[in-house]
Parts: sequence; C-alpha cells; structure tokens
Amino acid sequence: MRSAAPPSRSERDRLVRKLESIGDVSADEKTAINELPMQVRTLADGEDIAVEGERPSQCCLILTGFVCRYKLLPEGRRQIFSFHTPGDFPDLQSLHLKTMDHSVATLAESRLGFIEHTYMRELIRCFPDLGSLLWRDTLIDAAIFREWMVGIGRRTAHQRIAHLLCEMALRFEAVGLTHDHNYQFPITQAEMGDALGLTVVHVNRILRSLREEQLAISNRTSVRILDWEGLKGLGEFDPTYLHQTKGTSP
Amino acid sequence: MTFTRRFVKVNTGGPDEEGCLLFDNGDALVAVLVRLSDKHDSKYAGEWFFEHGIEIRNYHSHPLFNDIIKAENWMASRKVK
Repeated sequence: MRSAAPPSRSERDRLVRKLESIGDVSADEKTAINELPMQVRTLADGEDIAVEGERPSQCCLILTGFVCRYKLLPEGRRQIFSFHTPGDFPDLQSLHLKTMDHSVATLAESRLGFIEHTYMRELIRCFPDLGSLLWRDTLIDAAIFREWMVGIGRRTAHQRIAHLLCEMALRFEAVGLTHDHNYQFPITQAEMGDALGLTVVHVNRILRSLREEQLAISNRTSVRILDWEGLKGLGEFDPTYLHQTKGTSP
Repeated sequence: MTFTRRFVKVNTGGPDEEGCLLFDNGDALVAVLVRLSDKHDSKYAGEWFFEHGIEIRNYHSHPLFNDIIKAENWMASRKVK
C-alpha cells in the first residue's frame, strides 16, 4: 500500500454519478462530496483493504480499480459475495457495524480514498438527504445480495454468469465506465467461480459457450456484450433490484 | 474400497467429452469423471475433473486428478457409507 496523488475531479465524480443513478444530489451536496477530506492510497491486485475482525476507523471510496468482499472458509476456499466498481464504498457498513464480519480486497490495482468516519458522520449530519441516499445505497446493496442468493441457490451455471455480466454492465454504466457495451472486468475465471459457486472448469466451459453463441466475449480484463437481449433472457435478468432511476440498458 | 470403471461419452455442452463412470462394490454409480480437453489452460488440459459425486463428502471442491486411480483413492476416503 502506498500514498498517492489526491483524487482528480473525475475520480470524485464517480461517487456523484453513482449516487445520481439512484437519486437526486443537490449542488451543495455535490460540493460537499467534492470537498470530503480523504487520504488516497494505491493498492496492488489482491491486497486486503479491511480484514474480518478488524475495527476500521475509515470508509474506503473506490476511485479506480476493482474490489470484492469475501470470506475465507476452512481448507482455503473463498466465497466472494460482491464486486465493487469505482464510486462504491465497499465498507460503508463500518460506520455503524464496528467489527468487520468479512474481508474486503482489491481484484486489480486500485486507487482508494480513505475517509475518516468522523468526516462521513459530519457530512451526513449537515446533509441529511445525502444520509438518506447512502442508506438507500446500502438497501440496494442488500437487494443485490438477495439476487445473488437466488442465483447461487436456484439458477443454472449459465444463468449465473449471464446474470452477473448483465448486472456489472449496468453498474459500470451508472458510473460512466462502459463504452459500446464493453467494460473493463479485471477478474480471473477462478475469482468468477468463487463469486458464483462454480469451478474454474465450469466457468471456462460457460464463457466459451457464451462466445460461441455470440452472446458475450469475456477475457481476463474485459467483457464485450454482443447480444444484450439474448444475454438478459438467458440470465433471467430483471434490473429492478438495482433501483437505478436513470437508464436500464448499457 | 474398490471401484469399477466404465468409460462413456459425456455431453458437457462443449469439447470435454471423454468420461468415466465409477461404480462401488454394490455396482451403484458413485461418480462421474470427465477428462478436460485441450480447450482448457495447459495446467488443466488432460486432467480428470471430478464432475459429479454421489454421497461423497465435501466434493464441492471438484478436484482434478492426473490419474483415475488417484480419484478412486480420494473417493474411498470420503464415501459417506
């Protein structure tokens, strides 16, 4: 972990864009967000940001890169239960739940803005509507968990992957990080398997079949969706649970 | 525990077609192994993939084996009954 240059305007704007995708943000609130004091650090791929059992005093805003939340099981197995894009606070819950009940780590080199809890509390005290919006964001977080639970419990392996590729397309779109149905998705097949309860072998087979069926092309760094409606249909993807107020397709 | 093997063709929806069914002493099916094709990374290609197990403890890891005998030994230590 190393200290890095302060966040650029466009990096801070990711948070504003993310919040604007789920609600209204006033000019004063945008100014307050852009003035939030934060210490920026760059973490390499695969570094822990917060570890289960710790008691963080800061929240972490993703400026660039990609992050997951996970839990390690006996025998070294790992369950990833969420992915996070720039503009997300993957550990916002640490404001109210003192002890981490899971870990947070980077899945690519990432620039992270660490904001002291005291500053976050002050922001929410001065701008209660912003507090409501962050609350809304955590409720959407829970909605995403519910959807993943349905996926892992009841969807086929093909559907799980199709659903994930659709979800990430809309979440990257919300923060302005998709281009012509393409987005950077820097995860390995093993990491995708750890998120969806699949083996590397199954992930490999399914990504190949999605490519052969001209639905989506995915490699170690990016995803290109070739047939949005087809992929959506396969994954039974209904974006209602993302509660995005702007836009429903990439 | 000894196992009986029966080599079969498996439809995995792709090029992994070479399969092996394993039966226990009572001639009951206990596992399906599939040999990974060269469409997988070199570290996986040619390995026997534990595709499916019946009454096998903790097979969620779906291990890989370079020889069927190793899969049988692994299963013998995890068979529920």
